[in-house]
Amino acid sequence: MRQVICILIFLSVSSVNILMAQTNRIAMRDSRFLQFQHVFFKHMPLMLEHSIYSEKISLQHFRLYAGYRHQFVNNHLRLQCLAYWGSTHNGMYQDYGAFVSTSYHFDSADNYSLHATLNPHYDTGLNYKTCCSFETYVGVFKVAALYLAFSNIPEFRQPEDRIRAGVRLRIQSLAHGTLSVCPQMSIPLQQRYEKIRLHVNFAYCF
Amino acid sequence: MIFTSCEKREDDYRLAFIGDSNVERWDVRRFFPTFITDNYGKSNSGLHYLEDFAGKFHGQRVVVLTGTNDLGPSETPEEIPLFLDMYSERYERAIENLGAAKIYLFSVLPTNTERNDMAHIKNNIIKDFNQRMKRCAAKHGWTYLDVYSMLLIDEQLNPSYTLDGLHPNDACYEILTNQIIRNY
Repeated sequence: MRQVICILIFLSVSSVNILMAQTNRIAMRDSRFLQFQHVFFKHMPLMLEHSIYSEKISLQHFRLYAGYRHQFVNNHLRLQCLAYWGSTHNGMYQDYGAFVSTSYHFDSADNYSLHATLNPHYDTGLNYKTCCSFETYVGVFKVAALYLAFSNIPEFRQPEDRIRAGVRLRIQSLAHGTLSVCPQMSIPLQQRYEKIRLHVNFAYCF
Repeated sequence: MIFTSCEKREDDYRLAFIGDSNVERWDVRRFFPTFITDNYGKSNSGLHYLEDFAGKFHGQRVVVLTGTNDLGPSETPEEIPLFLDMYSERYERAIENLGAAKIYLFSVLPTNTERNDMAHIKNNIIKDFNQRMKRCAAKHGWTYLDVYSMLLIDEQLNPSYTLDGLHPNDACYEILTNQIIRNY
């Protein structure tokens, strides 16, 4: 009886996965946020992000994202809208908003692309601010692309104008997945050079 | 745990930092990622700069780290006690005049001979001044954060905690950050 129940659960989960799962993604953003994403029905990403600050658990921050994405023009033009809600575990502050982004990919390997993101953002302590980012990738080898961006989207809590530069390395077909690693330098536009930050971003899609 | 009510009011999670280059170089937004922070650090500043902020932090939580640029062996050994008396008195008044609801007062950090040939003499003056400010903090109910002895090795600033013998590196800022978080 117990085995039958296990098989039924397995089949039901499998059928759900066959119907709904198109892409899973495990990622780390800016060295301090872990992300787990699942895309339902090819177009509907759902993501959980959790900070890994060197702080006690009550001061850790988490965010839930849900949205819709679509690709046009032979997958060259991509649009995505992600709404989010986040909080620290102790409820010290909440933030919510959306990432409305578009990108144009000049080649199928994503090595030449332009991205623009609009980020209406509300923080219960800082109130409303409209943030944005503009990014570009320029391929230098088959697996490597240079990355350059301007962004005032908060890296932590407070918005700051920053230039970001780095290299993205991408390995495909790694156990049927794709691994991207992107070390970046985040350079403040209005503050001292000591506030340059080094971030590591990685993502594994499968 | 996730949906517990706020333990503190939102205002309580704001921190203003004021002081010299040791504050200016501190990436407080990275070290305090969930707080709202304002950094008023200014290179080469001293007590005059602190005095300029009289009444500007009404009701706020303020972190003070300054003094390195003012405390030096410019006086003769006989003059130093009198200088420290006068300087401590002004320093105390300047902090009082900030009008802050809560003060986190860091001890002045030690220096290193790599930067200053007379670091040993300067460190003795800093040590004396820190003892005075510790008593002063206890009198006013300020939170005194004594990091001087933690950063010291062979009577000077531990090279593991500095970039150039004077300014803290990330490892040192981690210690300063933990002191605030622990006493918050």
